[in-house]
Amino acid sequence: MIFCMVKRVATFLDANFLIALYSEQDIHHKNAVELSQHLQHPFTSDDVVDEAISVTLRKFGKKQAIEILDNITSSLPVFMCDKSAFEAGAIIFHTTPHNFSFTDCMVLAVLSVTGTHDIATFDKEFKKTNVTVVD
Amino acid sequence: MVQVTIKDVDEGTFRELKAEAAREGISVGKALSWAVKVWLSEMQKPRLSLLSWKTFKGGKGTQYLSEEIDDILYGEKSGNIS
Repeated sequence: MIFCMVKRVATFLDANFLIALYSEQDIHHKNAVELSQHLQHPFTSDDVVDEAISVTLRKFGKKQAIEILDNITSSLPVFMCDKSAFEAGAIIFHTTPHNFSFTDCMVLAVLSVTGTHDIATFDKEFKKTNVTVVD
Repeated sequence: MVQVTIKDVDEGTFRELKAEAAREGISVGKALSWAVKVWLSEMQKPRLSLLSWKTFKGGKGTQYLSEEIDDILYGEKSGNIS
């Protein structure tokens, strides 16, 4: 899928936000529900979907993993990371002074490639970067 | 057909578009028109609200799951960046 520059205000949803929204027991669940009412043009990426489903599969099981997958695909555009985003993520991974996983670096690359500034995440590490954390 | 000038296009993405158009044997304009159509159909697809998600009650000891994703997937962060 081609996913062009996001000129309007959009918000990227990180895996921890998706998990918090799905799991009622999660300490950030209420916050995620509250934020969901105000987010403009939310979207996520295939790497993040991979993380959310893998964690759900491991902790809750297949039925729940399918359920969160269906939730995501029915409600969010999913940015498919291409060569350009991958190369940008690799550069960020090489150079970042922060304690980021490669997927976190891919998230920053997707934000850059799509011109998005806002990210809904409960990962405090992102607050050390120049993106706007919505939490 | 219109002639347009587009500013602030991501260089890497445009390079890929040109390469893909060349591989397919079509003009950049045709490739771009097709890409925009695909993008528009994706963005205009009707979507459910995030508030309509089927949620899960979760299990015991999962209240910190959203904060433990990296630990679960990649092991605990060592904090060593060298």
